[in-house]
Formats: sequence, structure tokens, C-alpha cells
Amino acid sequence: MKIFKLRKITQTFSTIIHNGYGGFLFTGNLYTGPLKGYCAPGLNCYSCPAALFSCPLGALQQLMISLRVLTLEQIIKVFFYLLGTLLLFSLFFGRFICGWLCPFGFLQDLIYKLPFPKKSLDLPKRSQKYLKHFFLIFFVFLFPALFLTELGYGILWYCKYFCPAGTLEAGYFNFPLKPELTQLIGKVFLLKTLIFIIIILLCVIDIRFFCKNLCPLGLLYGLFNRFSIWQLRWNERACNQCSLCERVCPMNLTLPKELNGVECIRCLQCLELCPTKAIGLERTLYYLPQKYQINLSLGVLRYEKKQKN
Amino acid sequence: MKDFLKYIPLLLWIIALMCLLLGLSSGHHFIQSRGSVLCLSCMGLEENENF
Repeated sequence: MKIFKLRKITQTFSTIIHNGYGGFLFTGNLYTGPLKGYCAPGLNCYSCPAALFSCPLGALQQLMISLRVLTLEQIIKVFFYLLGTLLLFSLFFGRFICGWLCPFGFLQDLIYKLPFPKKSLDLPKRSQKYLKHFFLIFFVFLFPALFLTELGYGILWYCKYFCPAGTLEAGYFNFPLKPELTQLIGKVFLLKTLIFIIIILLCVIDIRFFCKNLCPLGLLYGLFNRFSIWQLRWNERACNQCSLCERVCPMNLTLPKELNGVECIRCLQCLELCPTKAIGLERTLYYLPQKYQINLSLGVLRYEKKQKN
Repeated sequence: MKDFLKYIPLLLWIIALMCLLLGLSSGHHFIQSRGSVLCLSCMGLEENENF
């Protein structure tokens, strides 16, 4: 089966599993069963009426906002639980999660198919690279822990002021079930709606704009891409330097240099389309630094030449 | 040094499994209790005492 087709099927199946609770149609309420105690790998809001699992980013922020009200023992145990969950996801899948399992990634792939002028959008150099670092450090970890309400809890900064998945799944999907919630609409909701519309528009123009520039969850998984059991390998002898892999890469990576880098979402388009099959997928439990995987090659030289210019 | 680097993933696997085992019961309960409540922050709504 072609990888493209397999990926679409997997994404559809994963989105259904992430949102597999149909009981809300009868009760009008969220799922509250034991599965909600586990985090799903993808970005999928736990306040979505159909969500079966919790969101890892939301869970991390929940811990950060509760630092002053939980006992030290509770904090340590919850921290271990989340660290273990995220590490397991990262080590097993790496950013395969972004390319194959994340419902919001799937949504971006779908809306990119809308007929609209396409363009690769480049944010000012440094912001493009560090925007998601900023969101992860400040909006997920620091601000929720530092800024407290009168009750002693912090605020879920990323969820409340930015997360487009939350705006769509928790916001818009809950209003038909609980119309009384519309009374609480205020400036924050309007801000989030504006952010959501802008992000969706940018994702229609540039494929996976949110994943490339704004997703802190993808960054977390990406940090462990080189340690995950699935690694892409490049065979220099088989490569004919056609650069097709670079042209089809949705993340605009410089290949083969960034094959297993932080930004590679493992969509495997390069592997599928390579005419000489110079890119392969391997399983390994060992770490091999990138410089030992890829010797100096024309691809790397071209990259370095580009950098100099 | 190269030999040590090679085993980093194995070390991370062990850390991940140990963390998960240590925090499973409390962590699961905490995440379930928070994830089961409709989150107004996620929706972007203002908290209102009269609501």
C-alpha cells in the first residue's frame, strides 16, 4: 500500500480514537471515565465533547497551575507520570505522532487541500525558529506557575490565550450542547477566535504552518526524534542528488542533513518519492550522532554553500 | 564517549518506564480529575461567579 494512503487511513483512524466518545450526544457532557486519566499523543483538547483522553499540553499546564496547592509528594508523582508518558511517546514514535497520529495535524493536511494560492511563509528568521520554544517555556511552564489567581491556582496560559485546537474543539463544539456558555463569551474568546482564524488561513496557504512554527508539543517530541526507535537513513551511494526529497518535504527541511532533526514529522514523503530509494526507515535502540550517519556529501555541501550565501 | 552515547536511548527507556511506574496511580487520578471537568480556559471563556 502506498505510504500516502496508509498515512491518511492512520490519521483518520487516530482522529476517531482520540475523539471516540459518542455518549455526549445523549448526555451533553464530557467523557469522565478512566481513559481520561491517560494522555493521548496528539494535540486534542480534553474539553472536546468527544475526547476520550487528556491532552499532554493541557495536563502539563494543569500540573504547573497547581504547584502551590498540591503536596510535594503529589507534585513529584504527577511530574513522574507526565514525564514517563511523554518520554514513552517520544522514544517510541518521535514526531511520527505529528505526521501520522495528531488530529490537529490531520486537520491542517485537509485544509491545505482547499483551493487557494500556496506559498511557503517565512517568518522573520529568529522568530520562526524560536516561537514554539517561547510558547513551551513561557506559556506552558513558567507563566502558569508564576501568575496566580486569588484561589491560589495559576492560569492555563497556552490553552486560554492561544491553543487553536481548544478554540475549535472545546469552544465551538461545546456551544451547541451548552448554549448557556455563550453568556461567558468575552474578549479572550474573541482573541482566541481571531488567532484561530489567522492560523487556519496560514495553514491553507502554507502546509503545516502551525506544526512548523507554533506547536510546543511537536517541539517536545522533536527534541527526542534522534533517540526514537524509528530512524531515517540516507544511502549516499544510491542518491542521485536530484533534491526531490527537499522539494516534497512539507517542513521545508534541508535533506539529508535534517533527516532525523527536530522538525522532521516523519511523513515519509521523501522515502516514498525518492526515485533511487536512497532514503530508508530503520528500527534501532541505539543512538548514532548525525555526523556519523551522514558523511560529507553533495547534499551537505550544497546546504553549507546555501548558508554562506 | 561514542560508546556511551550509543546507549542514551536505552537509558531514556529505563527512565521513562520507571517514571511511569512511580507516578501511575497518583498521576492518573490527577489527570482524570482535571480532564473530566469542562475547561473554560480551553474554551477561552471568562470565569463568572454568577454563572
